[in-house]
Amino acid sequence: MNAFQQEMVELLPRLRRFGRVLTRDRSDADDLVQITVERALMREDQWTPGTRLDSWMFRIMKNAWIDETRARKRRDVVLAPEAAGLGIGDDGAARAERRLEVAEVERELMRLPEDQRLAVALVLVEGLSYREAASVLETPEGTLTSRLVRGRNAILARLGGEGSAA
Amino acid sequence: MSKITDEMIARYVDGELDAEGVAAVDAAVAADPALGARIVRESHLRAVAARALGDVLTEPVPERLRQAVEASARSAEIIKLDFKKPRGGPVAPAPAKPSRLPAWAAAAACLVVGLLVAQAFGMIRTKPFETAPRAGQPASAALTVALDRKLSGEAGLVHVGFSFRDSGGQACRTFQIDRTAGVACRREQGWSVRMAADAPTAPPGGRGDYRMAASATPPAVLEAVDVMIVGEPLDRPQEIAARKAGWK
Repeated sequence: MNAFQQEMVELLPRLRRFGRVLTRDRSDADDLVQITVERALMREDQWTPGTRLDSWMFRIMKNAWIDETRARKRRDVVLAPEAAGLGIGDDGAARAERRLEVAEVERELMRLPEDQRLAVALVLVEGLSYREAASVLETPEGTLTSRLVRGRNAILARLGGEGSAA
Repeated sequence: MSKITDEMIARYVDGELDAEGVAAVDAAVAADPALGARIVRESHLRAVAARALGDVLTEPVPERLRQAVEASARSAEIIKLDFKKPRGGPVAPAPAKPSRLPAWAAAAACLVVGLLVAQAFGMIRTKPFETAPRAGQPASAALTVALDRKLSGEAGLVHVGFSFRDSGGQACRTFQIDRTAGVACRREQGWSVRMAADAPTAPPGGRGDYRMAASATPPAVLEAVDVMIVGEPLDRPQEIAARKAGWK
């Protein structure tokens, strides 16, 4: 394997995570990762070394998912988030409380409409900058920002307590 | 009411706001506790969301996915070989590294800014422990913003006490966030928290009493500074110069 492929192997866990945000389904997510890897390898010449491989592959993955959903339209039937099988391991009572909170945020994230879900996931979960996230989604930064704000407000409002002030 | 928009709050928490905006938010927070609470909540969300779906990162990657990379790699190499003869040695695919996660997890921890201090903010409302900035950890986005841009004594959620240089000549600053006080020093990659301790009282926040800053610093922090400091604390002009130079 060359450095490109090695880096890709190291990215697999994060690709799988972003796949779950996109598909909201474990096995669909892994199928999508596989398609993404195959496309990325075919397009190695389109990647500029020195730039972020993660953003580049997230973008390929997002487009692969668009193709996939077009192919099976019925997918728009809303998947109950619980059915997505987001596992919460129970290792240790000490961490239980904290994990519950993470699980709540995860659940609310998965309930967001797709455009907000992807914006929130790229910035808050994947830690991309606004500019990088906008390039993954191929939208202007302003669009990304407003999706991000709406998604965040929705999560906070649903998690109760003091929501958005505005 | 303040004219701080949702977008400004998001950018503030995500470290995407320019210096002018940060100053505006800090000023508004000083006059509007509800806004402060909102920012704490947003920071906490950021910290928690950074751990969302974390299980995926630690579970083994299915073999078929690793094979997808390697298999395509192999056919790609063969095609290359057909076109231009060897560019190196034999092309036997290297065995994949068995370890997958730890290196990644560490990288993620560094990438995900906002975590530690956002947690520190979170502690205002929730559990005290998992939240505070800890010694040896990189500073989060919010702390970084404050350490980079604020002069000592300025109001805001993060309070910077004073600045000094350590034996390596690097800039260090004392800080306090809610009930956690500490010292962070500038390293090549950013600010690193060198020590952190519980602080008995909330930071002086918002009343312009900045000469109080040093005397309000908890004794544990002052002791740490004593060990680290070379020379005197920076005075205001030195601090401004250091800020201009990026604290290098």
